[in-house]
Amino acid sequence: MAETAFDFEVITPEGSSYRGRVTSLKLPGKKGSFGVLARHAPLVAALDAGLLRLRGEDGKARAFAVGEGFVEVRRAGVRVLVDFCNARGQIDAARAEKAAARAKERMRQRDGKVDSARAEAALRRSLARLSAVRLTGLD
Amino acid sequence: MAQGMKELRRRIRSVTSIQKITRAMEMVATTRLRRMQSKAEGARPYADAIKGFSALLAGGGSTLSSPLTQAREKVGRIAVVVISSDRGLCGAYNANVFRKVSAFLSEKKEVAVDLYTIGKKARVHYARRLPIKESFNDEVEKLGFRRAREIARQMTELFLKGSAAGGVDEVHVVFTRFVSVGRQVTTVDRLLPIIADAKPTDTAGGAKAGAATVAPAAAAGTAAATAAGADVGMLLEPSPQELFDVLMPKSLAMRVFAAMLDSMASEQAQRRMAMKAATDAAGDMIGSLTRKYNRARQETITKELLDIVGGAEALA
Repeated sequence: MAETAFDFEVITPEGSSYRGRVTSLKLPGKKGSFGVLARHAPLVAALDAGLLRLRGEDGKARAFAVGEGFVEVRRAGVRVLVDFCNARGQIDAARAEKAAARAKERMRQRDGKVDSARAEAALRRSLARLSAVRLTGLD
Repeated sequence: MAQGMKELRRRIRSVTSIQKITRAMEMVATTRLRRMQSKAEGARPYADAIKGFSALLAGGGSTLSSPLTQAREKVGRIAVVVISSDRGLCGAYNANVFRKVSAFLSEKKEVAVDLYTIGKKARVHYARRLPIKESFNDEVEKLGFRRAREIARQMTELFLKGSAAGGVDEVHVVFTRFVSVGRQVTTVDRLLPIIADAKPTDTAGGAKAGAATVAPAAAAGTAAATAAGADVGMLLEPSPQELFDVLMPKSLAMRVFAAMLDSMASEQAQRRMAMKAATDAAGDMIGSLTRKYNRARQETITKELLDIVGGAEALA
């Protein structure tokens, strides 16, 4: 099946971290993960920290851990704006694991002093990184 | 005379080594400046896209509101975030920032002020002058977007609390805007409440810029109306209001980050200029000292010659 490719870019405050033509995307939407193929209807959606998966024009699958942000789907292409975007090789698994444990611990002590929304966001970020590292069958 | 010559030689040597140091610092500042500029450059697409989104949402026709855009009628307490450098030898960079802060505070005499500092120089400067509420980090150059996001989040929390509940009613940032390599402007910017820049004119500019970056091909849009028209039927998920609520903190964080990047670039630009001036001044000094030294040497030689000639004549 010949799949149609489209332009895709990931932009973070520290610069563009991925740019290329892809045939499919899977994004961590606020209301759940969703996929984008060529000729998707124009859309702006909020993204949670999570796993971004894509299949490049070359047929290669890639995965990134991304932070909270947005996706903008237009006819001309798709852009993702996120706080960070880490390729698998950039992630320190041990550090992410520690961060996840810390966030979980903080969420457990519900004594009002803990900002649970913040702890939750931290947990999501670290879990996103961990799941990116642990993915198999890529590259 | 020999004594004077020795002293001169010593001074020439010391000025020469100072010049070596200032020249090295000048070169380091030049490289750092370039790095900072490219960082700032890298942040631009994100900032533009955020602006484009705001315009898109504001242009959707629906009335969006956020507590972050609401100005308080009575301002009881404000937060001022001062961005300075960690190191000195950067000309009037920090002095200008502190002067701006003083000027700003004298305008705000009737409200209480919470001071927040970024950079070692500000912390040290205000340590014995004004109560500092919190010093964020002593390593300005290592601050990344993460840190900017944290600071923005903390400021947002304070703002939402309001001065009645121990928070603040306004948040201002004092930083140095990087206009060009030769021009930097110390600026006070109001971070919160967010100035509703989604007014018609701005929206037009923002939407056009947004559309242009996204779809250069589809940028047949001559007017903002065309650009907005292209977005009709765009799915928004979740609702525009929810998107707006996510967007606002992002745009705040980005503004803090941009202020940091601007300040860092400005610091390096000013350090480079200061070091260049120092290197030039050292060069002038070496020149005049060398002249003095040569004259002194010549005088000694002449005197010795006179002595010899005088002695020879006496013997003859």
